[in-house]
Amino acid sequence: MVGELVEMLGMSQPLISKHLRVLREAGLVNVRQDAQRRWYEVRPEPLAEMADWLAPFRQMAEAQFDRLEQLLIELQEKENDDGQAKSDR
Amino acid sequence: MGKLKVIAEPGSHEVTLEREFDAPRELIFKAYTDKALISQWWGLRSSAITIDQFEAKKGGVWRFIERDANGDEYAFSGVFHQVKAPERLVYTFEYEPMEGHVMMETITLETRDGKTIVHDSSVFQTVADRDGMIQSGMEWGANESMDRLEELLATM
Repeated sequence: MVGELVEMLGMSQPLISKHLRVLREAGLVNVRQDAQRRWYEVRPEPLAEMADWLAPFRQMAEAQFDRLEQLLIELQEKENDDGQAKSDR
Repeated sequence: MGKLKVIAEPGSHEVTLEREFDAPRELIFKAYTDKALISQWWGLRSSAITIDQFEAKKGGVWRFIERDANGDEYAFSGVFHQVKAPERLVYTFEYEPMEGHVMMETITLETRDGKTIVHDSSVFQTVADRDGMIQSGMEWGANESMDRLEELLATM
């Protein structure tokens, strides 16, 4: 209920209502109306949909960055070894 | 291992990636601009990449040829617009089978608390091109699983 959210978040009622409207339009919040009250509930499905949409691309980019990271580790180890070899001489 | 941040807002022409690396940015800049190094990490795991052209300077051309598990070859190419060591790279990117769909990529290397943050912004000509690129990840994922299946079958 809006009143509860106002209390919990310490924001004004018009501001809460505005946020709820945006969330409702995005399909992230459902409204149920009983006799005198409107109940708002979270709808997480669109978030899961979006995560699914992005997941393969994320994996692809991650795989490439993982290889870059591996290369950077190897290059730094090689640098350290070379430095060590020099100071040993 | 660094965590990858991906931002792709609805209706936008852009995808941004952000990841932290425990390495100096000079070294990361080298990994992006040295011909012998870029071939060791760029592209998809399952594909062998050949560097046809790579001239990391303003106006310089780059062209990579990738060969997938089936032996099919396809090329990616573009032109460098800015190569500012060790902090910024701007270049175009085109998947040659889709000629004329040109993306512009900006790599920014930022030093923070002894680590380096790599920012990668890709701006496409249309939202459809941007979404197409994101969907190509799905194809890649499917191919990748097929490759793994093949590898597994080969060991049996």
